[in-house]
Amino acid sequence: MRTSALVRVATAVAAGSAVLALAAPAQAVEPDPAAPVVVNDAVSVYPFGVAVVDVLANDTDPGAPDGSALAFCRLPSMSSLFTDIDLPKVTIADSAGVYGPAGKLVVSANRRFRAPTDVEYYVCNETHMTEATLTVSMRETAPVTVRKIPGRPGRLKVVNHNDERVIVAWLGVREGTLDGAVRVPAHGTRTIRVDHKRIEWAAVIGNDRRSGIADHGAVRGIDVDPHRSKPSKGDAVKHVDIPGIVGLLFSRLR
Amino acid sequence: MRTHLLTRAAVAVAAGAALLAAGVPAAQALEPDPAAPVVVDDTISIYPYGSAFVDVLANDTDPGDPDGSQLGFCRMPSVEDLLFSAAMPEMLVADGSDIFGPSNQLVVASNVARLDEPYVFSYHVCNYSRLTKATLTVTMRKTAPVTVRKVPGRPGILKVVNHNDERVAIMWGAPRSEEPDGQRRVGAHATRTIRVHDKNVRWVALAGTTRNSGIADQGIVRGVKVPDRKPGDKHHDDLFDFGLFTLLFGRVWH
Repeated sequence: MRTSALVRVATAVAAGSAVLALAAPAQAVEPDPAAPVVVNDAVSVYPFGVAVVDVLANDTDPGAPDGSALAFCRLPSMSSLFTDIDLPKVTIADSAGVYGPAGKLVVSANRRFRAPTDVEYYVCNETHMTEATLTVSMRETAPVTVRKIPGRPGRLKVVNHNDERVIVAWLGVREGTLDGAVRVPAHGTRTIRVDHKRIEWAAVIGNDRRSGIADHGAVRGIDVDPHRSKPSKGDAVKHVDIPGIVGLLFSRLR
Repeated sequence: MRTHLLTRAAVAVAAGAALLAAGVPAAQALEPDPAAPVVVDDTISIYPYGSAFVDVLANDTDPGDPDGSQLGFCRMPSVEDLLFSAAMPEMLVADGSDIFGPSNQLVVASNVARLDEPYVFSYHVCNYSRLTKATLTVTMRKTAPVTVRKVPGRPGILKVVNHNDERVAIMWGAPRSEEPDGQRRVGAHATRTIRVHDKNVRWVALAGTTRNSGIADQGIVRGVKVPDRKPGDKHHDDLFDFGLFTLLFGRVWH
């Protein structure tokens, strides 16, 4: 009986310690009442794309109800992006009123990736900062095909398999300047006229808050039309309509 | 008697309330946060039109980290904002890592020859949990003249006299040229002659070191008699001592 009692007591003590241990996690620290209260955010981006996210909108500052003192702190320095050989999958920067309205994060997906990736930064007021996480996932896109048309020199057929419209821009490989662009509706087809034997093209998808590249490629061995006189019209996009982001996105593919 | 008691009670309550009020620290006079960086404000004296690196963190300490490696800059004005604006501001203070790569120093650059009063730049020094306000006060050094004069009877020769207590480097050329024609070191309170090839000669005298340099004096000499140009006439003293300033030099020469 006594042994049983001892064993029972020992077990009880052990169990009690285990319960205590569970109740007092080593890492847990009381949140500082003056520190910003952060709600983590999630965003999806197109491949090779950029998104502007208002991550501070759901964060609160105990010292300032309107959150006007909240800012980003300790974002990775932009210069490290130029010295590192391998760009990280995702990079973030302060929109700074230049890349978007001030106080937002600009998220850039530098290559395609499958699993969502977490990016850490800090939200600060004038005295305290709190760690925050932004979970970035990649949006799926469908192919865009650009093919020569037999018997029609200088003309290519563009087919957009996405559920949204894309803008397909192309450039003559030698010149390196943007040759033309065309809007292709969701699941639509367009014919374009090109003046080069070889072109590179990219299909831009999205809007001013979030855009990226649905697909890209090259077409070689194009028979250039000898009777070419004037550029075709239709829904070719004039240079002035092409979002400035297209040229930027093109350069990211190189 | 009752009135007295009531009055006394009222007075006691009022006094108690006053004591309580006095016991609560004024909003501004808070105990320094033991986790916050301890900051020593800095000053720097720059040359006219000068630029300088300032290691402002060197005299700051981080309670949580003896080697101070966690200290950084927070809540700084955005560099992109300044670089994209149409006109260079009179004084620019930025995180050196944004421009020159990891360095944890501030960079100061000025677009003026004179400061009527010290320029105070406010920012925050931070670790990974707290921020502390800090200031950098920028003043401007007075420099002594450098005189550049024609020499009677010696066509194409100019006499340079440096009245400063330190050596300068003089650069010269035609007023609207892309690059200076020549450059020469002139010691403190020393005289040198230079050979020029233009009727009107623009010159700039630089002073300082790799970390802090600017313009001691500048001017134009007009109506210089010039002989025919001989081969091998170019003066070209090395200006490696002027580091940062020669990097930003284009802004000054044009």
